[in-house]
Amino acid sequence: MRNHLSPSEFVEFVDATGRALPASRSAHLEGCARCRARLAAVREALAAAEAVDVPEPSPLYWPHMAARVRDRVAGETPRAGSWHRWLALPMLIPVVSALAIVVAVFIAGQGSGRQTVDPQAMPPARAAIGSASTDPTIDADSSEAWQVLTSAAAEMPIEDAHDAGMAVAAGAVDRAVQRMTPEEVNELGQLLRSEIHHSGD
Amino acid sequence: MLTRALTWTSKEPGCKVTVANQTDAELVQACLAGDRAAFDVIVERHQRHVYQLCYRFAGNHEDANDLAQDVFVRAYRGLKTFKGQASLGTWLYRIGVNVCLSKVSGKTRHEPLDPLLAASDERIASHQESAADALLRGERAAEVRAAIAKLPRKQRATLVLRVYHDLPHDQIAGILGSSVGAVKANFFHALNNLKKLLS
Repeated sequence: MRNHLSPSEFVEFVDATGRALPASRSAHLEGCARCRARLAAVREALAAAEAVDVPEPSPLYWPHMAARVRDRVAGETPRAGSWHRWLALPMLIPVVSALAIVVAVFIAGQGSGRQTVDPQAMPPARAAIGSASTDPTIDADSSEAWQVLTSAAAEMPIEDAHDAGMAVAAGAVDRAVQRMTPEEVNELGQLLRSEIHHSGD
Repeated sequence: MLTRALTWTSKEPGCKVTVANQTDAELVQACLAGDRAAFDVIVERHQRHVYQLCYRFAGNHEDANDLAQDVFVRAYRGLKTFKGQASLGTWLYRIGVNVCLSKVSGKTRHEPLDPLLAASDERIASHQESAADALLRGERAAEVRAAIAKLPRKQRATLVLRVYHDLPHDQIAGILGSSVGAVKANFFHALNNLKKLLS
């Protein structure tokens, strides 16, 4: 017989004996052994599911659970949703990783360019930046921005970087950071301070 | 459920908000205004349904307990995103389903696997019920729970929300982010598959 009941129509019969359906569908059901058998099977499964209860926990369980929830949210405040949660520290790790890789690629590109260009042929300003970026006299001990940068990098597990889908050659980031100009180090340090400040709530 | 009068006042310093008889929406607003006690009332009101939902997915008390706590912690963190378009209960169900679907696999341990323990866990419908009947009923309940756990995720969620929480199809559609037609189809296929698994 054609026009067997659809899944939605079966559900209508299960829920409300098909009252919402046209009379023709009830007529079909009466005359179709296949649909009647399927409906019976579905109703049997529903009855089996309905017969299973959730075991009732001890009455003492409910205040215990409420207390556990209270403890877990004690140090938190409802979040604003949207962009604030992106500043949470775990989210910061891949962001910082990405930032470091972008900087590495940028600096590496600059570095390879410098190898083919005679510094003496550069304009004075460009030459100054070029010499500063490889200047070993950047004082890593006294630069606050450098300290922020290195401390943030030191706390970043390599697994997190891999989980974020990033993989860099060993030492590439270190080399890239070492080749940054003081201005770039300061800029990166300010970015990191800002992110750490926001995620510290 | 342990009944407890909801007529008490926040103990937060400087906070005199009485939470008795407040609606869920008012409690949410009070909570966002810094009254942590208001969230306690939200938990008290909804913990049973949330726990039962989690138990239906997890199949054992320990995991259901952990999941239910996670649901409320996530709800607390996301309270500002609650716009009141759906009821708080529906919103908690949505969080609960997401938490359960993301953390519970089909291989989750379902207790009690021992029919004897199963029988003792099930409510005895009648004092005249024989031990043998209780044993059989407990065994059957364990089978059904295990079969439900094997259903595809959306079918399982639909079945749980429809059968055990008696939610209408449109509300389930809102929770699962589906159409009503898809919910009905999922419900039918869930029952159909359940029948096959139990055969």
